[in-house]
Amino acid sequence: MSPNNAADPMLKPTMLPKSLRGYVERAFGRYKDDDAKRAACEAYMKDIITEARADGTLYTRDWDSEPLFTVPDSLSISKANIQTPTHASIPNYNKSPVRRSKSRWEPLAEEKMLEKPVSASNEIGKYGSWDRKTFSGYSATKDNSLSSFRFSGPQQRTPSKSAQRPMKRQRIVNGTGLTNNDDDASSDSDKEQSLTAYYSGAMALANNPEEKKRRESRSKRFDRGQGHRPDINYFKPKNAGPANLYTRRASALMLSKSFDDSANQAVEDIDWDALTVKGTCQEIEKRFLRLTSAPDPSTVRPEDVLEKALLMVQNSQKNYLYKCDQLKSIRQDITVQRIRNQLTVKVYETHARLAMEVGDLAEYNQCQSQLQILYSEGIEGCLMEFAAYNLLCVILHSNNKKDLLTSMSRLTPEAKEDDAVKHALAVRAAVTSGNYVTFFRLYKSAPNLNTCLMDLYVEKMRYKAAVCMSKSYRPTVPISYIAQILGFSNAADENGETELSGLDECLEWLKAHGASLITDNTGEMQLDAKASSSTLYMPEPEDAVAHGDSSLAVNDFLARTT
Amino acid sequence: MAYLSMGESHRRITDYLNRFADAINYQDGDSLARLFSVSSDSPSLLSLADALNVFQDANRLIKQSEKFSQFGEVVAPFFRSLQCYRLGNLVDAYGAFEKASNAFIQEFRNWESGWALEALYVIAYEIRVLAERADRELASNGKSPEKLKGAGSFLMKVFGVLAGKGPKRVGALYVTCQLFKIYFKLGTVNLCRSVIRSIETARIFDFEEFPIRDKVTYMYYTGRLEVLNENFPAADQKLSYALTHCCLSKEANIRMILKYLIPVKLSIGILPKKQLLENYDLVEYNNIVEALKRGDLRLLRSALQENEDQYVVILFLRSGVYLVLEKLELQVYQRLLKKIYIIQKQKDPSKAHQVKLEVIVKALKWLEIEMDLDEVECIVAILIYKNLMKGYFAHKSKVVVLSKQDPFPKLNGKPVAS
Repeated sequence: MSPNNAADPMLKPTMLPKSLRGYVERAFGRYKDDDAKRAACEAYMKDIITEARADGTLYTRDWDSEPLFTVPDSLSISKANIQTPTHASIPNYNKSPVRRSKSRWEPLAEEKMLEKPVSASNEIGKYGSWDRKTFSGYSATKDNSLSSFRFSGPQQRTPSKSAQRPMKRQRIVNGTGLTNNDDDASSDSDKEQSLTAYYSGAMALANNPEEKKRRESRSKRFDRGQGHRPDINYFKPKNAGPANLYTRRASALMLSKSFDDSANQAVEDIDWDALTVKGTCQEIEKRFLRLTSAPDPSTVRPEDVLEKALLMVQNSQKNYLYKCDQLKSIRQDITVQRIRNQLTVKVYETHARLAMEVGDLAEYNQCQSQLQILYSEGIEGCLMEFAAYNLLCVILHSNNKKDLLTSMSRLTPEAKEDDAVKHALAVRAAVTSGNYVTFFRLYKSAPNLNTCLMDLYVEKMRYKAAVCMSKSYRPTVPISYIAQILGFSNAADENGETELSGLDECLEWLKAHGASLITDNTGEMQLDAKASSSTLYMPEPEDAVAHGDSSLAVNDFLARTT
Repeated sequence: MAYLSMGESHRRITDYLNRFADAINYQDGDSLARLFSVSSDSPSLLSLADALNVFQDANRLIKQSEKFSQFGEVVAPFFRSLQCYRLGNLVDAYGAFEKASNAFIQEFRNWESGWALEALYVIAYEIRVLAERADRELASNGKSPEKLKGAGSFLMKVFGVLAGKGPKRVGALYVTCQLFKIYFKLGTVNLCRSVIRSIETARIFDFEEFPIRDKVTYMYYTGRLEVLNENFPAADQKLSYALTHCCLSKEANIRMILKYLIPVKLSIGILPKKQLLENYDLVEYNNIVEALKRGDLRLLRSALQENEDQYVVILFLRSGVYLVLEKLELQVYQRLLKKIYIIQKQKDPSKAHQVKLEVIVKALKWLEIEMDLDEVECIVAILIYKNLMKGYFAHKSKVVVLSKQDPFPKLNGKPVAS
C-alpha cells in the first residue's frame, strides 16, 4: 500500500511541540530505507498523536524520554541480553535521551539487527508489553509512573502453571496486512514482534520448550506478547493508560477469545490469585522506587498499612514533592496487590487534589483518568466533585468544544443538581459569553477546589474584561470598581487593610498590562478608557521556566516544609 | 425454513461464483456491486448464506475451477463473512469481510478503468456498517468496541488507492464521506482534517468532477465541522451549497442539512419562516426564533434548559448546535434593549438615546429575570464591545449613551464578533 500522497497535517512540524517533533524524527529516522515501514510508522505515529491529543497529554508528555516502538518485521530479532540472565537495568531517574543502551524493555531498532539463530533468546515477552507505555518503564516521566505496574501480572510464574503448547503464530508481513499462517511455531516464535500486544492484557505465553526452560531458570516475569491480528494493528485500545492493567485483565479472558484459540488456554490457566503479591511491609513512610523486577513482598505494604500511610500524607506538613513521592509509592503498592476499592479511590482523589492545588496538571490528569475508570466500576467516591473538576478542565484548559459537548450531554440529572457541578456549568456559561462579572462572583463562591481550576483562566478573563471595558466605557472607570468586579478584593466585606491590598493588586495588574491610568479631581484613581483601548496588552509570562514549574528547585528538598 | 438440500446448496453457491466471475470478466460493475451488499439482507444473498451454512465446504468448490479459484482470496473470506452474518455473529462477519475487502482492493488496483467503482462503494459502505454492528455486539458483551476504528483505518487505505491520477479518483469523495460518518460516530472529528486536506489541496482532485451526491454529503459534513468550530460564514456557505444541490425529494436529507443551517443563519441574523420549520419538522427551533424576534430572554433560556424538553436539549448538545444557540443570547439582549429604546423614543424623542441601567433591570424583572446592576452593566459593556450597540456607557451616571445614528446595527450576514 502506498502511503497517502498528501503530507499528513497531523505530522506537520508546526503543530507539534518541539520534543514531539524530535521523537517523530527519531521514529522515522530508523526506517530511512524502508518505505513500507515508514508508512506503518506514519500510521502508528498518527495514532499516538491522536491519542495524546485526546487525553490531553500531547504537550505534557515527555517525548524526549518516550521510547520508540518497533514496526514488526519478519527479520528483526529481539535484541536482548541474550543468554545471560542479567538483571534489568537500573531505572533511570534522569530524563535520559532515548538511546539507552541495554534496556531490555526497549526494542533497540537503532542498532544493527543481529542475525541470531532461531533458538536464541525468545524475548517474546519483552515486546509483549501490551501497552505502548510499557516501553517507557524507565523514563522518569510522571505520565508513566504506573507503567511499571503492569509487570505485576504474571509474576511468580510457577512452571506448572504455564501453558505448554506451541502456539500457532501468524507472521505479520511487511505492512501490507497480508499474513501467512505459518504452522511452524518454533521458527516463528523469535520472529514474532507483537506491536499488537496492546490487546495482550491476556497473556499469551511463548511456548517452545527452550524458552520455557530459560524462563524457569530466570524466574523473571515478563509480559508475554500475545496477539497476532491478521492485519497490522497499531490501534490503541481505548484506555491505554498506564495502569489499565486491571480493566483489561478483568475482560482479558473474554478478549482473548477473539484471538487464536491456542492462545486462550494459556490465559485461562493462569491462577491470578497465586500471582498477586501480598505485602507484608509495615512501614508507613516509604519513598517511591519504581519496580524493576517482581516485588519482594516484604517491601510491599498491605492494605491496612497503606490506609495509615495515606492518613500520614494527608496530615503531613511537608511539601508537594514529598507527598507526591509518598503517594506514588502508595499507588504502586496498591496496584501491585490489585487492590481496587475505596482506598484506591481515596488515594487517587487525594493525589488529584494535591496536584491541582500546586498546578501539577499532568499528575492531576493521570489521577483523574484512573478515577473515571474506578468510578465506572461502581466504587464509591466523590464523583460529583470530580465531575465538576472534569468539566472545568475541559472548559478552561483544553477548550475542546467536542469534548465539552460530550461531557455536558453525559451528565446525569442527579449530577446536574449537585452544587459543584452546577457551579462548573455556570462557570462554563460565563466563560463562553465573556461575562466577567459572573465569572468572578463564581470565583469567590467556588466550592471544593474549583478555584484552583478557575485560576487557570483568571488572567485571561481579566484581560478580556479590561479590553471590553476600555472600549465600552467613557470617559473613565474607577479602579475601585474594577478591583471589586474582577475579583481583586480579598474577603468581600472587610474594610481597611484588606480592601486596600486588593486595590493595590488591581493597580499593579493594570499597570503590568499597559492600562492608562489617571487621577480625578477627588483623588480617586481611574482607568482612562479611551487611552487604554490602544495601550492594553498581554505581557509575556515572566516566570516561565524550562521545566515548567518555577517553584521546583534543583536541590533535594523532599523533606523541606514550605 | 424449508429444508435445503446439499444439491440445492451446491447449485446456489456455484451460481454465485459464476455471477461473480462473469461480473469481473465482463467488467460489469453494477452486478459485481450487488454481490457484495451483505447488510442489505437481499433474498439472494441470504439464500446464499443459508446454502453456505448447509454445504460447509465452499472452499472446495472455489478451488475446483480455475474460473473461480483466481478470485479465491476474495470470495473465500466473503463467504465466511456471509455465513457469520447469517448466524448473527457480527464480529466475525466484520473480520472476514475486511479480509475479503483487502483482497478485493489488491485486485482492484490492477484493473485499469473505474468500472468497478460501484462495487468499491458497496464495499466501503459495508465495511462501515458491519463495523458499527460488530462494535455494538462487542459493547453488549462488555468488550471494547474497536472495529469501527479499524474500519476507519482500512478506508484510509482505500482512499490512498484511489488518490491517483487515473479515472478511479472520482471515487475518493465517496470514501471520504464514509470516513466522515465513521469519525463523527466515533467522536474523533479531528481526524477529518487530514482527509479534507487531501481532497481540497491535492492537485489530482477536481472537486467539480465528483458525483453530485457525494459533493452534497461532503459539504454537509464539512459544514458541520465549521459549525463545531464556530466559523459561521464558512458553515453558511457549505451547508447552503448542500441544501441547494440536494435533490428536493430527499426530504430526510434536507431536514438534516437544515438542522445545522438554521442555527447558523440565526447567528448571522437571518430568521427562518415558521412554515419552513413546520414543513421539515424542526419545531424545536420555534421558541428560539420567537425569543429572537421579541427579545425575550426568558424564552430563550427556557428553550435551552432541560426542564422544557430534555430530549431536545440533549440533541442540541450532541449535535454541537447547543453552543451556537447559546450564543444567540446576546442578540436577544440587543433586541430587548432596542425595544426599550423604541418605547423611549415614542415617549420623548430628545432623551431616547440615553437608557438608564435601572430601566433595563426593570425590564428584565418583568421577564422574571433577576439581574443586579453590575451584571447588567457587564452585559451592556459586552454588547457595545461586540458592536451590537453603538455608543458608550457612563459608569458614574449608570447610563447607556447610544449613538444618534443606527444605535443597533444589524448583523447583515456577519456573525457577532467573538
